[in-house]
Amino acid sequence: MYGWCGQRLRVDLSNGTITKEPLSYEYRRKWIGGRGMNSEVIYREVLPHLDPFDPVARVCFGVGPISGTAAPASGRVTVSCKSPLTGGFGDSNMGGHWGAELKYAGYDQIIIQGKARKPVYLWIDDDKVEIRDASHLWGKFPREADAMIKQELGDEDIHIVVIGPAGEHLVRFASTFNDVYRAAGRTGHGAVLGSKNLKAIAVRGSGTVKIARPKEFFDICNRLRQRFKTDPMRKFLYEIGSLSLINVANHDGWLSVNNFKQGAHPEAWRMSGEEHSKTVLKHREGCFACPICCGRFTEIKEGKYAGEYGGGPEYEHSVPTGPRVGVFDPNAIWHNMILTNNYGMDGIETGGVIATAMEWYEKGLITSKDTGGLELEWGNQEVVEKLITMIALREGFGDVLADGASRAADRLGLGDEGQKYTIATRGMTLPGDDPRGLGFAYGVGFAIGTRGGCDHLRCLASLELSGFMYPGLNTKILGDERPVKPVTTVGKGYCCFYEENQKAMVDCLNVCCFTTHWSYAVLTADQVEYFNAVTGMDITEEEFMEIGERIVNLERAYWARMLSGKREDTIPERFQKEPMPKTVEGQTNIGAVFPVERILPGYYKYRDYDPETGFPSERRLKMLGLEYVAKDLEPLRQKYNTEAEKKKKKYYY
Amino acid sequence: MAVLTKAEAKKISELDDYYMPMLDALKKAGVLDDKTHRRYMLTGYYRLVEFLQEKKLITEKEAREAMADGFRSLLGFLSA
Repeated sequence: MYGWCGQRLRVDLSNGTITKEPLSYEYRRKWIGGRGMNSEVIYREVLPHLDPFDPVARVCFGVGPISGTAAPASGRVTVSCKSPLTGGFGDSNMGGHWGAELKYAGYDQIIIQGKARKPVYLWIDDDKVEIRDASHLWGKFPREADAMIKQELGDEDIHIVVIGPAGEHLVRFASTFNDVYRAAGRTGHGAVLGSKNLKAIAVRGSGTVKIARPKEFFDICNRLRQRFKTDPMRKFLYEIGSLSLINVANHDGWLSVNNFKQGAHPEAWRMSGEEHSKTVLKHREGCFACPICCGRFTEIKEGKYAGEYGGGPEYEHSVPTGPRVGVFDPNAIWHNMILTNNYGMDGIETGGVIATAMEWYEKGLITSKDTGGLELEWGNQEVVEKLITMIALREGFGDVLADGASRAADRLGLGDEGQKYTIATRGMTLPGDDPRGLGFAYGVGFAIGTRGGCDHLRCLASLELSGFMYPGLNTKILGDERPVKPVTTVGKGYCCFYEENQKAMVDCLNVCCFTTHWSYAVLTADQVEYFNAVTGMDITEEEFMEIGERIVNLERAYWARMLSGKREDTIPERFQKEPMPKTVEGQTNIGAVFPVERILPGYYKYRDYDPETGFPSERRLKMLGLEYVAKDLEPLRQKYNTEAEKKKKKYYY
Repeated sequence: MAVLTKAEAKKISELDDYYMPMLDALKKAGVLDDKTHRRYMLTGYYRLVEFLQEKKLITEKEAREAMADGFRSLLGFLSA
């Protein structure tokens, strides 16, 4: 067999059984790997109304047929579950080296189910798989647990997935880490692993990935690597990292400041990638087979936090616990990032929930009586720092926020007024990108993202973000160069459809989207080429994109089964009704609002979503080989539009 | 070769969401069938241009121009 290992591992922690399940040719061709296979399992095995913390719930780790090869940035791994944050479909992916190691150990996927009686970790050493005691690891930070497991197993070169204390405390947005610093951040699978008492998965593999047409494959890889040498986005990402976006975001007014009340701030340059590189950048490090190497490490050199060290920063981690909560001191932002990583939490949701609470406080919806005496004022770093720990350990007011912004609003009895400031859709707060400036296609992605409404990485319509660096690319794919302009409605519906399908495939191959969507060095045709060369298949570009479409529809159907559809395809009122204020000189999007309703109907047509419910149509589902899904949705189409259902306000599930 | 009327081409070129209407119009004109309509929806504009050139509905030069200048240029060729 080429590309795939052809088997997955199923571990039931309740009874300790470990089974290896073969993956047929048809199955592999239909779902490819990574996100595709994971989504298939979650749809089929995790019923939509199951409590995500029920032992029956699953967590899947999936890699693709390209994982572990020389294809650019082919080391990612997708983690999927029913999200305890949103209650809907959830997944996230991470770089590092663990994904490649899992392939070398001989597995395309791991399914975790059940619940161990006490803390355990999984040790996969090629064919030998065992469940080991992890009582001594419970409560440890990822870096501590990683070091202890390596020492225990006597091998510094193994790769380990681990959760932090936040996962153990069932913080609904706890993350999963590998190689200590590479996080699968969103949707809370770290908490689901915590609910199962699974602290870590250590892997050592001694196998290889068989390539069907090696010469052809290495020729493609060489060609692509040459392309990266002159790629404009690669230069930015290597030299400045994803924080290269800070100055751009500040200029174009899409930086999340004070919970999106502003899109820019005169002090934001202090946390830019340029400044970080000059001051606290310790070193750079790439993930497996990466030609970009955007990863950075930080050592704080002065002030209160001097001596602290950690992986990062990334734009999406640093903005929510920085500008979004009104903090602009760079060392404080790096400290918040290190602290959040130590506890093993999603930086976006952590900052999002604190920012939301700050706005509730500002609007008088909560007072210091609710917060245990904390004064939640914008930019109060002392409080932000304190709250990060309180959330991770579920202490005091932190316990309320540990359930995520939307659930916290309900726990505090704040009603619709409280929900208005959560700046979330389908129960997950938005990342640090304001669609009034970043772009309308990104904004549509926030409304329709299949891992929760909020999503900067699902639709990933980067043709409007970095497309200007690739003149002619928008025309090549979309037929027009105008969609490269962020705040226009022209061409955005099709842009979302194309990019969403394409991104689904990138997540099935488990290559890094920085090589395919931020940078456009690797286009769809290249991906089809290396997929075919590795696997020996001969699928067409059309089939390739259709698989992406299948996965998007399956995930969409998961939400539809929970009666989440057209009415929930929206974005927070702030973006639709509040014109972007001017806060810096030269800001390009002053007065902008985001007319999401003008783009969605067009997008629905490409998807063939039912215009009444927003559910995938029976016709399209059958075309995609999802007859069983069409059957599942059949009785729900009418139910969704009953008067009783229309009255329900669904902020999470 | 005129496979669309000038009025059709003009209408499509003025739309914000132009791609699906263009595919629909080409299907109505018998240039695309269900299968190819879907194929070029999935694979993008440049594959549509390649197909139209292959079918000799546009010349090589026109295909180059349509790739450089976009769908409005293509509509011009298809309605000329």
